Amino acid sequence: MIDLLVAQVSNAWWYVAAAYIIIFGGVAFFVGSLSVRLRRARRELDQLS
Amino acid sequence: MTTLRSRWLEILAIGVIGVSVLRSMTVEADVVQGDVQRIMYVHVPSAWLAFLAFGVTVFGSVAWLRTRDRRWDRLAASSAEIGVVFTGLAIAAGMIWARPVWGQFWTWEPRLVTTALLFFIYLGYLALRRAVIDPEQRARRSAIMGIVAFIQIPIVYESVNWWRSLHQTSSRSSIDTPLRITLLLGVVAFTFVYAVLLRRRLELARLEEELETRRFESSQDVAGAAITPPSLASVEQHD
Repeated sequence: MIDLLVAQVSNAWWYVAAAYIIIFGGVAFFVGSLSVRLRRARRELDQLS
Repeated sequence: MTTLRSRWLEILAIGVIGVSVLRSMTVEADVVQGDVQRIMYVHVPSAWLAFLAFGVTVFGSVAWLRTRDRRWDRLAASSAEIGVVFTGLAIAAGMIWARPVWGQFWTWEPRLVTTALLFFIYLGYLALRRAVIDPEQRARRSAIMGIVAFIQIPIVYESVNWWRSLHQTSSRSSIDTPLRITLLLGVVAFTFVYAVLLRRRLELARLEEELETRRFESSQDVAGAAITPPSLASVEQHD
């Protein structure tokens, strides 16, 4: 059972890299989208005032 | 200097995240799963952050129902959005972890199903907020939904104990101290990330609300102008 598991996780670092990229990439994307929305809201407020 | 002072939380969060990632990459590997277990150091903190965010949403919802202060509604909405993002990220990281350990990305087992359900329930909460135009009604309806939706959190947490599950039970007591410290560091780091994101999202919510009020006021002006009768003076001038 453990041998089978070891064989399956032999390329473990690829999976680790993928998970970390997804998590931190996701956070970066969310931060970026918040910045864009903030800028847009400020611009629209300036136009209305 | 002012920028540095106002951005101290962001700088602190980046620093703690850096230490956490470094530690999770260098700590000894798990005896059974090997290096792939390192995914736990981002998967569990992501799930923790989502739970924390939904907890703040229910707190904000209750506070709004008690006080009718719009700030609590903004807090609930902002926190729910962050919670949805991190539930999605926790599911994605979990799927990647499942592939080498369980042999497949997805399986219809209790923890995964209840978490997916949690994700869609809070997506519904965000959709509800977009669907209702009147701010008072929107705040009331979403406060009620924010409280009811929170029932799903203990179901997700206890799903591994209540039903036969592939997913492991709580990691707190079953792992060695170095691994536990690394996990704890990840949880602390993600809590800082939550604080940073919440601050930004709250600022956005405040601006959006101000924008909504200004738009409403300007539309009232236009409507008012349309029904204003012509003044006698202007008619006389015309003649």
